[in-house]
Amino acid sequence: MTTASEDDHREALIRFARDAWARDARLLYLAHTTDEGTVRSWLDDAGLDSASRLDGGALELGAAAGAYGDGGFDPERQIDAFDAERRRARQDGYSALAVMGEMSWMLDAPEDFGRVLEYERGLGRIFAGADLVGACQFDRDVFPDDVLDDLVGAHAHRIWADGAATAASRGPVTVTERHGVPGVELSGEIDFDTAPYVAARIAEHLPGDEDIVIDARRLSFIDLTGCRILVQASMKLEQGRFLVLLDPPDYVRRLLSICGWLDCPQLAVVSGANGHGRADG
Amino acid sequence: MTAIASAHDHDHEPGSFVHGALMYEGDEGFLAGTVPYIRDGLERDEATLVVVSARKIRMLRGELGSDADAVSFADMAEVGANPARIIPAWRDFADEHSHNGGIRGIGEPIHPGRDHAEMVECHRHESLLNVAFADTAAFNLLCPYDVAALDPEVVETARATHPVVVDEGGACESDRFAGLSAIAAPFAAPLPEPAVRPFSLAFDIDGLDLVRRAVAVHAANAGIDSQRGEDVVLAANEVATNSVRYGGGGGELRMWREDGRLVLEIADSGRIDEPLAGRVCPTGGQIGGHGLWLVNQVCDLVQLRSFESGSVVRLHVRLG
Repeated sequence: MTTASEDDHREALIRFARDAWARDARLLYLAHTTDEGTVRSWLDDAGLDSASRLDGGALELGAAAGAYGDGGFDPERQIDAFDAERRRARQDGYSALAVMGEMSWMLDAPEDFGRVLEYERGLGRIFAGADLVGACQFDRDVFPDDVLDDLVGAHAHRIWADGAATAASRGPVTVTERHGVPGVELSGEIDFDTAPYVAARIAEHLPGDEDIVIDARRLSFIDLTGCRILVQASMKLEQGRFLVLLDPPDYVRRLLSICGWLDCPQLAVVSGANGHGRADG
Repeated sequence: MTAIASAHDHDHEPGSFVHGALMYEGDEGFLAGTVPYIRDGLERDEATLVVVSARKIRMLRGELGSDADAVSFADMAEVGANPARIIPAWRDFADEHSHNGGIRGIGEPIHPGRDHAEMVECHRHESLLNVAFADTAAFNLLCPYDVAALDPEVVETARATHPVVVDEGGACESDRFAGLSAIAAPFAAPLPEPAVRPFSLAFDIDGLDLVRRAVAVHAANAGIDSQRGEDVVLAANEVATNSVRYGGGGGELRMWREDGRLVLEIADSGRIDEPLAGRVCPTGGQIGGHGLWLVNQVCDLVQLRSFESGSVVRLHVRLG
């Protein structure tokens, strides 16, 4: 993820922590510029009691620079270390290890960028398993854009935040939320692998009384599993509220029709820009 | 000829499913075998659906005159290009009309224009009709076979897939009928190996996107337009997803071209035990069981096989 301000940084941590603990994972936070007290106060202020989680093992705090060892950056050693941490978390009874690390330590050794990229790609392979989730924080103010693009592109799981929206990716799908708007924008590809993640993100919007808008204009692929999670989300809405699917790929309407889902009462498929077009279904 | 009606009256429990093969020769034989059967049903107030070629529909309409108004017709080229879509069409008709009394049907899925792979699947379809409607009351279905035009082997197979055979001499039970338990067993007839060396790709859950990329590229290279290409990618993705979920976590995709078709095959170590898989329309609120149904709706032909060692699904997409 890239953060541009301390607020974004804090919000990203809280979101990541909530997600991790909801899935009964251990959160390992590796700080570089943020001190431990600040991290704990962010969590405490969000109602996520840091003291009991530190005692119980659900939260572990470490130093990013320390975690990466001395004597320069060694990608293989670092990947092995994370793999060991992942096994330890599983042995301690957690469903997964969720790692969030501040990456600004890289600026101390810019000549290591190449090796960090290699390392990020290696982490991506481990992250592809279900029991290690990671987010690396790159501060947009201090990293050059081209380096950032390369680094972020290497991640299996990544989050961006700015004042108006938060975007998070898992593999080929990206879910973007605009602050204060009930619903999500989807881009990329949704399949059996990525659908549970999208379902969890949509579920965050189910409480409330507004329609939930799923902006699918930039979605390049959605399969049966993906459509099924949208249908299931719509079934959880009370009468009068709709899950509005905005401009999905052309074949989606046909897919929904073949499966008998086009007449789901709380699901509306809308074609036309800005959500003001023809609504049916 | 009211032969099948008499088979219905005398040889079977009243009101059961009667599935007969009508052995006829040429257009005259077709009309002689079907028109009295249709009229007999109309006299009994039975809802009647005829699914044959457009040419034969015109012939029947001409022969039936105003009686044709009481008969529903559908073009087999539309309903049954993929024979796996025919049972759902009969199911729809039966569900719509069975509360009004008996149902009568004529379906001719097998004609000389079918190629080998289609013919094999048509025979499978004829077999599965016996399973699909075993519990449907008062349904008379007659399947015409033009014995003058079809290979003798095809006609012989029809005697094994129909419990009743009707010819000029009348209706009788087929002594070659395979029986319901044999039909309901997993379908393990071998599929021919491709004549050319196929493209091959092993996949697991991380490789579903690779499956989609590979299929999209092959579809485009085969000249399939982008909209049809989306369907093909979707179909392959669903079958591969089934392999990930139920077939041991992954499988192998193979693709090749044969007889003017792109063939996509997905093999895994799972078993398909439901003989009607992909032929039962999911109901509105149903959440699972749509994969093979969807695949049957978007592909020109689908071949399911289940062996001791695993399952194979072949999807055929017509080119040009």
